[in-house]
Amino acid sequence: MKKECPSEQSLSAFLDGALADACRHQIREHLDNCAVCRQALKRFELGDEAIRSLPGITARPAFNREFWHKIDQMGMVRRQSFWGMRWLAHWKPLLAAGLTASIIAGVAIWQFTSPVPSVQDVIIAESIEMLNDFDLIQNLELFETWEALQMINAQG
Amino acid sequence: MQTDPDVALMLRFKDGDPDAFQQLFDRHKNSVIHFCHRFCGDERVAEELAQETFIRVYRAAGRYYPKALFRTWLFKIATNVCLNELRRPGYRMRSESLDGPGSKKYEASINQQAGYDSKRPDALLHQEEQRHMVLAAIARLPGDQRAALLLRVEGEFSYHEIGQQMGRSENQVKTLIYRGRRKLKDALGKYFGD
Repeated sequence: MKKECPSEQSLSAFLDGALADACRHQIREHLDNCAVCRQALKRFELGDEAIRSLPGITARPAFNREFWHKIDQMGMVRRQSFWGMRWLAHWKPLLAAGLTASIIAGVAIWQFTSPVPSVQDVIIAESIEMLNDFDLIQNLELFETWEALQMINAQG
Repeated sequence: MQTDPDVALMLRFKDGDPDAFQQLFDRHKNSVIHFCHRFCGDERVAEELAQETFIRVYRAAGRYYPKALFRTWLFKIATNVCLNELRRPGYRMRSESLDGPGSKKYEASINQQAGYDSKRPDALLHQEEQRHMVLAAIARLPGDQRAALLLRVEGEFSYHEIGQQMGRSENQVKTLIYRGRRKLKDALGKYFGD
C-alpha cells in the first residue's frame, strides 16, 4: 500500500457503503489508480461472497413439530401449576373443616378425661375463699365497736 | 415502525392472535436457521438455536414494544442465542467436526457430506471441501466478530442496526466487521488462490 492509501478498515466500510459521501468519493478515485487497494478490496469481496455462496438450509419437516411440542411443553408447565392451585383451592375448605373438627374433639376429650375433684380439694378451695375475707374477720371487733358508737351517738 | 407488517403481526400476537405468530414463524424460520447455521456450522444445532430464538419471541410477546423493525429485533434475539451457545461448555465438542484440512475427522466429514463416491466428479468434492473450509473459517472467528460479519453479509443489516442488535456503537461494529473480514481473508487464502 502507498502512504496515501486508505486503511483496510476504511476499505471494509467502503464495501458496506458505510462511509460519508466525500470519503467514499475519495476512495473510489483512489481505487482507480491503486492496484494494491483494488486487490485488498477484492479479497474482502471474495470473503463475503464465500459466505453468501454457502448452500441454503431449509428446515426439516420435523422442525415445526418439534418447535410446537416445545411450546406445548411450556404450556403444560403453566397448566400443571394451574391445576396445582385448583387442587389446593378444592381441598382448602376440607382442610379447614378437618382442623375445626380436630379442635372440637380435642376439647371434648380434655373435658371428659379431666379428674373429678376430691373432698380434700373442695375443703382447700373453700379455705382459700375464706382467706380472701381474712382482713374482714380479723377486724370484726372494730366493726362491732363502730356500730355501738353509732348507736350511742344516735341516742345522745 | 408501525408500517412494518411483521411488527403489526407481532402486535396482533401480543393481543392474543396465535395465527399472527404462525405467520411470523413461517416467514422467518428459514432465514433464522440459515443465520444460526453460518454461526455454529452444524445443521442440527442450527435448528435447535432457531427454535430457541422463536421460543424467546413467543415468551416476549407480552412485553413486546416495537422499537425497531421486527426482523432487526428477531436477529438480535438470534444473535444472543448463538453467542450464548458459544459460551456453553458443550460447544467445543459440537464444533470439532470443523477441524481443518489434513485431519482424519475433516476428511471423513467431507466424504460423508459429499456422499463420497469414487465415480463422482472431483469438482463436486472440491465444492464440498470449499464449503467446509468456509464454515471452518467462520467458526474460528471470535463470537462478536462472527456475529457482526454474518449480520452484515448474510442479514444485510446496516451498521446502525447491528449496533442495536449487539449493543455496540457503529464505530465498534465497523471495527468488528473489519477484523472478521481480515481473519476470514487470511484463513481462506487457499480458497482465494493465494
